[in-house]
Amino acid sequence: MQLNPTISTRAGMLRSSVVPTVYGDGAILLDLTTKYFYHLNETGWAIVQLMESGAAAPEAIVKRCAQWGATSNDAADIWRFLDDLHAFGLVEEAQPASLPDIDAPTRWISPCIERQAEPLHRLVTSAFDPSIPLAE
Amino acid sequence: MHSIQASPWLNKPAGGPLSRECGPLEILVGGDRPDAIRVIVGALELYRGFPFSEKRQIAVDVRRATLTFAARGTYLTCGRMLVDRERGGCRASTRSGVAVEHEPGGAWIVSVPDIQFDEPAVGDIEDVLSLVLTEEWREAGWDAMHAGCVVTPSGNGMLLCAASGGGKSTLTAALVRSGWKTLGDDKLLVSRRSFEVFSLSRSFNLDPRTARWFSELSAIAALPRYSAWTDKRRVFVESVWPGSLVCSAQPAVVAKIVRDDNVHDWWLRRLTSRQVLLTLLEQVVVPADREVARAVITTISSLASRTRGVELRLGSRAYETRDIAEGLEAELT
Repeated sequence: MQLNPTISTRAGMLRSSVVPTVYGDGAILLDLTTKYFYHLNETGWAIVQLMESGAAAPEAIVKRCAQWGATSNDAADIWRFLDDLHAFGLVEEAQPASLPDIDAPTRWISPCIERQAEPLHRLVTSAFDPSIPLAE
Repeated sequence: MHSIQASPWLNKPAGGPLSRECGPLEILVGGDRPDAIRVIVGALELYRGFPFSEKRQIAVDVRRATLTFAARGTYLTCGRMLVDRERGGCRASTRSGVAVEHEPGGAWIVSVPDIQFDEPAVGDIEDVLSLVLTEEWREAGWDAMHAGCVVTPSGNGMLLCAASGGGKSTLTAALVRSGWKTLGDDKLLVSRRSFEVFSLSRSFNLDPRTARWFSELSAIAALPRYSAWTDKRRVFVESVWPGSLVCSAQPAVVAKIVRDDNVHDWWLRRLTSRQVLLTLLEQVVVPADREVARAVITTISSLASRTRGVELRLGSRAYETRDIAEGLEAELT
């Protein structure tokens, strides 16, 4: 598989302000800075796990995806997914490390990330009540 | 963050602090500010629900002191309070100058300057207390949830989710008068072990206008407003609907309540699994600390994966025409 040259040098690592939680087949990510939630499908979550403990080079990610069943036809989807992670500010550039061993997805599907339409409130009424405060 | 010493009064065998239970916490309140202590003890009364078998003891030491720091809100930004958390310690400051500091294992030190005890200052003390409780509930294995909970006659627990003023209390009242049970209209704890929800309060916060639908509430307009920011009155549930309050429930359903003027009475639709998760996440405070946030989200996502959801759209005549309890029960069975 060929890499998109625009991202080929951008090894990415999940930012420390992003909290992943397994949900359903995939996971959700909460960006504590923006309070936006993101949904990952199973394959997207598998790729993000490669970037959890160290930076992953796109070439290495694509190679790992091929082991999970991706074909050359899927390359564009993988690039788009990695670009989305960067565009949403969920990963930061760092020196690439070796990829961790993680469980392979049960089947290969194109990786997908969706951002929740509205973030959680940054300003809340109290430590108990997440509503926006009433006007005084 | 500087080190905080345990209060000397904590070890006094007699004549020491006041003790109050609040969910799984036993709270000892003492110090040299009796006026502020009265406010705190009064606020704790509102959380007086059912006794818990396990108790975590914490201490709140209320001192006459002037604010010496200003929190930045790196952990939590509330309407009148900013909270920072660092290395497990916590400190918060409010607009009136009321502040709180805490180091792991120590007492919560509440500083109250020489201020007039008007509505904002009382609200700030209540905000500080809300922080103390929320943090300690988490330490004890519970997450606070700002939602109502009812139990259908067939035994299904249903969480009622909406923002403040979104209709949780009125809907809870409507269901309770139809024979459903309730755990409360807006204050719940979720167990991190079993994902059961527990009642935290025996009172509802009801708008006096609800009396136009529910005649048994006709006298509530005569009660004092419980806060300057709202017209709502605090009503003890069992004084109006005896036997309606229950201690705990295992939620089977999440109901997202939406007020909708385009709906004649009410209308239901099923929610997807993802919508259930988002609905629940909007009912909890997720602080900007990685480990705390992870624990809260894990609880909520586990709860979401055990429940199904409905969206309930309520029009202006929701409580005047079709029986909403009957309709919900039919949808859920």
